[in-house]
Amino acid sequence: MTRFCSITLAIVFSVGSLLAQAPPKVKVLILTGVSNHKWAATTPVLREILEQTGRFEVRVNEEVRGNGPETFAPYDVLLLNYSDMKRSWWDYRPREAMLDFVRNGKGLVSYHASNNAFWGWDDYDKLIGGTWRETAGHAPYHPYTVKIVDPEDPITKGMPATFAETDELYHGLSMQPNIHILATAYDDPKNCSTNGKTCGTGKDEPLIWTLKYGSGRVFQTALGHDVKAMDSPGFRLTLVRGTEWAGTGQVTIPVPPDLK
Amino acid sequence: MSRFCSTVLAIVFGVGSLLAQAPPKVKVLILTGVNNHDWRATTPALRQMLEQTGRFEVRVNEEVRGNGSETFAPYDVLLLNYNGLKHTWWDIRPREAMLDFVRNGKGLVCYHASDNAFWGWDEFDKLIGGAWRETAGHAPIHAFTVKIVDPEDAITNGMPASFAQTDQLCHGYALQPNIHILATAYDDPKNCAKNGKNCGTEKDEPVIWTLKYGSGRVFHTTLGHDVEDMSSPGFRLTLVRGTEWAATGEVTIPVPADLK
Repeated sequence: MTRFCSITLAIVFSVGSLLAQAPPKVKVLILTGVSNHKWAATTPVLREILEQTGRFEVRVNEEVRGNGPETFAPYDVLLLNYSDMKRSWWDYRPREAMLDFVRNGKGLVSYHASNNAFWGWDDYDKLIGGTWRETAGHAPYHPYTVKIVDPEDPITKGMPATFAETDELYHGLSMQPNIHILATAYDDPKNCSTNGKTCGTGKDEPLIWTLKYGSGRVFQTALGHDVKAMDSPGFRLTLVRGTEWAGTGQVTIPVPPDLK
Repeated sequence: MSRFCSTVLAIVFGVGSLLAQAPPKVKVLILTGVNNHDWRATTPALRQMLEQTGRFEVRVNEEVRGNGSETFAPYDVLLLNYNGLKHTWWDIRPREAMLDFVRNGKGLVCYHASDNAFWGWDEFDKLIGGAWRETAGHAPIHAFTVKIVDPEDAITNGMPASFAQTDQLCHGYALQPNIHILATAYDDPKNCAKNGKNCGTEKDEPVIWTLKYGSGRVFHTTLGHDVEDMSSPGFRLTLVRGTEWAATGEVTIPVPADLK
């Protein structure tokens, strides 16, 4: 074999083995431990949904007070499963570290009631693009259709135009002007609480969106109230693709056959 | 009813309802996320055995870097399921915060291979009372008998004189002089690795001990290599009672019928 030939072969094989190597896993840190929802049940499900794609390595911190930039730095994306409502549970250190983490180019996922955390902390409202504040509510948990409103976004690309969800449907969130809405659902005004008071709004309500914060990326899903609601293929796929996008700016996780 | 009578009744009922109230739960923070053992399987098992006593409320942090005194302060006891081996994974902030936490009167539980962490950090060796260093080892996992050597200690009081365990039996630890040994096991010299090496030492090896560190309390168990080994009644009871003692200085969890 000529020297030229062996060098060529060496290059071909090393490029081939590089291509065959899986990309490094996206490192996710779930922040939880306080919520008006069942965080102890939903957190293992979030971990499982993410890890079974093979794309993520997940860690969980259930005590966030005193965490700081050294805690978050090893990760690509923080996932909030956290709602302290009107009480600011975290001290200043993790709050500032989270803003800096995203501002400086990393990712954040706000899952379901996490948009109900940190009342009165304006930077948080800007960070996640839409929060549950005074005007927010939801009609009773019911089956409805989620509509993809931007089918060209990397997170939704290749998904069917709609998917079925049985879940809470939030309305009246305080929205920031810079969000990019990926999915909405029609909030049926005939779906009312038993006393007839809390009904759907008769409008298409935004449920899934993204935004930029500094040079970082934020993915927000209002879906997934409980373990049962988290079972839908549409919830799972948007969560894993949204988390990958927030972590890396790209989506490689394919649309599975049951959602094509 | 006379005024005297109603006052007496009020006192009686008040004291009665105080006595009937469960004491506040002991707050445990498990520190894990790095280990040469299967921390992902053993951590939920530790949480479950603690919480099913009804005496503990457990949180878990899988990323300890950047944690600090604000992270640990809300807890009564830290439980280490962590082994960074010769790599000092944690930065100085959680390391100092852990020492201060115990030194100032709270508790620490060192579980199994956690005593193999932080090589070269002398203060850690003093904190946990006995560490897996150059001279340490163990013969193959096998069935052995754990002997209670101080039946009058708060943790062992009321337990039978011995319990059965199938586990690793660690030997050759670098022990500190101030530890109080609660249990040992005879390390059978006929129990060897397949190549005939790594045999038992033919000595009674300490497997469970306590010590004071500053004004705090440390409980150390070398037992519980994996989920199967953690299922023995003796491991479980010493772990929950040891954790309660480390946190509060007292033991209220009773000895169950299968260990009487």
